[in-house]
Amino acid sequence: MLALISTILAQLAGDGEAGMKAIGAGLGYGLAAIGPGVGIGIVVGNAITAMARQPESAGVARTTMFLGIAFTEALALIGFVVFVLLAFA
Amino acid sequence: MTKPVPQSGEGAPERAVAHDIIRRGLIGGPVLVGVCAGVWGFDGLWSSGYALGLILANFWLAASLITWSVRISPTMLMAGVMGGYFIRLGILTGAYFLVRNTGWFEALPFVITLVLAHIVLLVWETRYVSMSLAYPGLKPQGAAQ
Repeated sequence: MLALISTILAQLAGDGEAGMKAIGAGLGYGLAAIGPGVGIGIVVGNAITAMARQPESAGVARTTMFLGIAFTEALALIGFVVFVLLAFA
Repeated sequence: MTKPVPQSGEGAPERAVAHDIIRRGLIGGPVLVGVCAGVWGFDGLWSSGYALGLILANFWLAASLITWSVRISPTMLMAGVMGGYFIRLGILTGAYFLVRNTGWFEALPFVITLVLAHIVLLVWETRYVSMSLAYPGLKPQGAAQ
């Protein structure tokens, strides 16, 4: 489905190869951002549950949550890097 | 009765972690920037330094958004983290588009520094956080966590 949409959009863009490359990069970046988004939601959701259950350990939960968010975000950064390399490098 | 963690920005654990990461980034980052400068020259130096600055600013912004939103409510924390994620990705993309046509910009050292600095700094910091969580008696005096 995504490949079909990419093909149609590339044809609409006119310049076949360049259009395809740009659309592929854009789709890749977008898709790469979905996974970390879901992951961050899970991390924060569970951290909130932990803080609600044990307020005295909120500090530990927040520290772990922050590191978890940052690790999950690395995946989005890799998606961004692929986007940069595919589209413009 | 349980004693809640102070909600002010001063004692915020994520801010302490972010400050620690920034400190380590300022210590270890120049090595990576130096390597990029050695391979790509001055263009590599500027591009790598720019990426390092973006990564450190990204950590600081993430921590600040959490500290700000956790003071309001758990719902705001969820919204702040999720909104902050998209805002920070947008800032990163915008920062790239801002400089990509300038004469000094090199894509390769930029992206290498971006990914390496992020992952290495996180792993470096996680080692210390894990140790202080496992052995609380060993954590430095005055540390938030």
